Amino acid sequence: MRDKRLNHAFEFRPTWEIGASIGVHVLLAGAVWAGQMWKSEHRLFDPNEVMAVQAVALPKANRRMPDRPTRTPDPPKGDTPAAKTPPPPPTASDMAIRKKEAPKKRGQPNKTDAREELLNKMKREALLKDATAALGKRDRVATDKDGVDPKDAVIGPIGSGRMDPELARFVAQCRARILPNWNPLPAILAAHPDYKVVVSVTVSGNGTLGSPSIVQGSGDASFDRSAISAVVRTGRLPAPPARYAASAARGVMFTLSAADLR
Amino acid sequence: MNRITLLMVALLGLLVPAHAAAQDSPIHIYVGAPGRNKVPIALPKPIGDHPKAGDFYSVVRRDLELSGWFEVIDPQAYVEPLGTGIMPRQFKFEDWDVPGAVGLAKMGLTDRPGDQLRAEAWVYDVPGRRRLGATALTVGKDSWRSLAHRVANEIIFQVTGQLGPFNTRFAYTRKTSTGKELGIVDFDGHGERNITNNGSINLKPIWNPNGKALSFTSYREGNPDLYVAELGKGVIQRISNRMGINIGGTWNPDSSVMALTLAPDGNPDIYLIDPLGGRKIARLTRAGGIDVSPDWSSDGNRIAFVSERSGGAQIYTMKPDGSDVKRVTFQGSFNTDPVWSPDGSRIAFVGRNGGRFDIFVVNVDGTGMQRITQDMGDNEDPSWSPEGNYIAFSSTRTGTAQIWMSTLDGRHQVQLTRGRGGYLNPNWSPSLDW
Repeated sequence: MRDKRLNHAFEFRPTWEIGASIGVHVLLAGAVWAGQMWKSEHRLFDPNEVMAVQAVALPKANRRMPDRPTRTPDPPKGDTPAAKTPPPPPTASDMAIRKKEAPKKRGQPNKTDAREELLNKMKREALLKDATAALGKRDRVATDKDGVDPKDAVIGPIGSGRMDPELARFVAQCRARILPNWNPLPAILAAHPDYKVVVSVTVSGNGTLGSPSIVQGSGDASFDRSAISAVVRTGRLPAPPARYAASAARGVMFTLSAADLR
Repeated sequence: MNRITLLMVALLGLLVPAHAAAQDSPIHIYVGAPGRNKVPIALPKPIGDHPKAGDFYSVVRRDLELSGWFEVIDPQAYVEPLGTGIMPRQFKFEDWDVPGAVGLAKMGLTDRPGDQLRAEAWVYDVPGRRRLGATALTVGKDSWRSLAHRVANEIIFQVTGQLGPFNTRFAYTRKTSTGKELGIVDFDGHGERNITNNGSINLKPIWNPNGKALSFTSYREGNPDLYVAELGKGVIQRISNRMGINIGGTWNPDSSVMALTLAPDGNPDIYLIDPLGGRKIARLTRAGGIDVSPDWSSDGNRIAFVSERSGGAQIYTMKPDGSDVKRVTFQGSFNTDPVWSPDGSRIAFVGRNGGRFDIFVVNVDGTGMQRITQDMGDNEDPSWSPEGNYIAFSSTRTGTAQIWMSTLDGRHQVQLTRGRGGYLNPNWSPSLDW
């Protein structure tokens, strides 16, 4: 049945394998497009619920964080008051309702064939795969309770503003521990708000720190030393998330700046 | 069928590797800029074995602690031997790494011929292994407290880049058994001396711009009349004794005109008078309700005042001819005692909230309202430090009214005066160096 439909899609058929390959590509492209449409109009899943993260190194020349949001985007603003209010937190019942919507569409005319079903499946798969690391409900709930602000994390999201809440929590805790120990001379901060220093330090699985080193100095020995002292005085950080333990053990880079760059 | 399935799995697999890469890439965390953490500073006692060294050290140390900028490291943590030199290359910076010093202020105190006292201060950046600045000051021995304040000013300037208010004074009103008397006290609560001692009620001292005279209101003749005390001459002169209140005399920047509140017809309004002879120059307000508490901006272009023209007491500003009236506060129903910041950008005032009086700061355009005090007794009579980094006020948070000082974010609030209290109307001297 599926072979027949694929054959109908192409008039030129050198081999059926090539046709099948092209057909699958078309299906994939269609799935991505349909997924975007579905996401914006039907909200197949709430972006607040499925999050993924890729921790990346910032380019050395990058002097400030990218302007794009580092948290899941707010819903588009509409003209109606209801559209201006943020969506309520998703619940298990919401998910259940959405899951039941798909079979409903299968029953509609012109959308009941296997191709449509495949499209739906591919669309869902593509979106989830794009997220790369969809997290379990337990993680999401914990993050919500902690109230970690994802903007505190400097991590490069794969999708538009998706972020690993576990890593965001770790980042926020690191900031909270390091900042109170950082005491650069106020005169330097006032005179050189452009100063920035990047310190690298290994973080073991239990949060123990290695010897910090300067990756990118500010050019001012006092400012750089104050950053090293801040890390040394901090002594210990929270244990990094298990998924990032290997990366943290190789070294975490901390950027400390005279003025807030965000 | 199997081939297609395999192909699809392979294509979907292309999307997966990013997941693994996510967890293998280096983690880069933006920590950000420091808040106003206190600077750990080492302050060894002055070398020289001068008999006043201990007292001198205490004054400098208290100034630095009052400022909110510093955490003075306990001298017991110092490893440098006593008596080590204070100049570069006479000591080792490494010795000051041990107690975790970021700033280091080394002082020397010696007698000089002619009953003089000389203080040296060398200020260092310990992590940077460099000298930030040095100063040497010589004064009469009787002025050793002022010398210590000036050394503290030098230290705070070198480490923070900010001017220090330590060598300033407050004029104040203090409750006595017979009434309220005017006095002056040093920034740190020492050196108190009376301006009035007439057994009557004396209120609301206000410095003139050069810091050599004070206006105040006194009931010594029965009516609340306005007086000016010329401090250098020790002369007190009555300037305005019109029927009703004569209160709140504030000079313009060149001291040629004084704004004050008069009520010749029973309703308080703001007038301009000649500060020398008291001649009435102009009436500035004519709206219904009271108009009181004028305060001249530092550039002389506007006057802040309190008016009930909109119902409750609110803060307004106007030009010195009474035109271009602009309302500044809109929150609350009782906002009084406006005072301009030295740079003219903000106004501090007293607001009543929940039956208590608290200090607030607002931009002159009415934006950026900020609360300085909350849930700490009644806080009234705000006055800016000359450089604009602090606000002094009277507070009853410890039971009796004392003079307190706060940073502009309200996080660092310290009590300046001690004793039996009763300090009201603190007015900060206009010059940084008394």
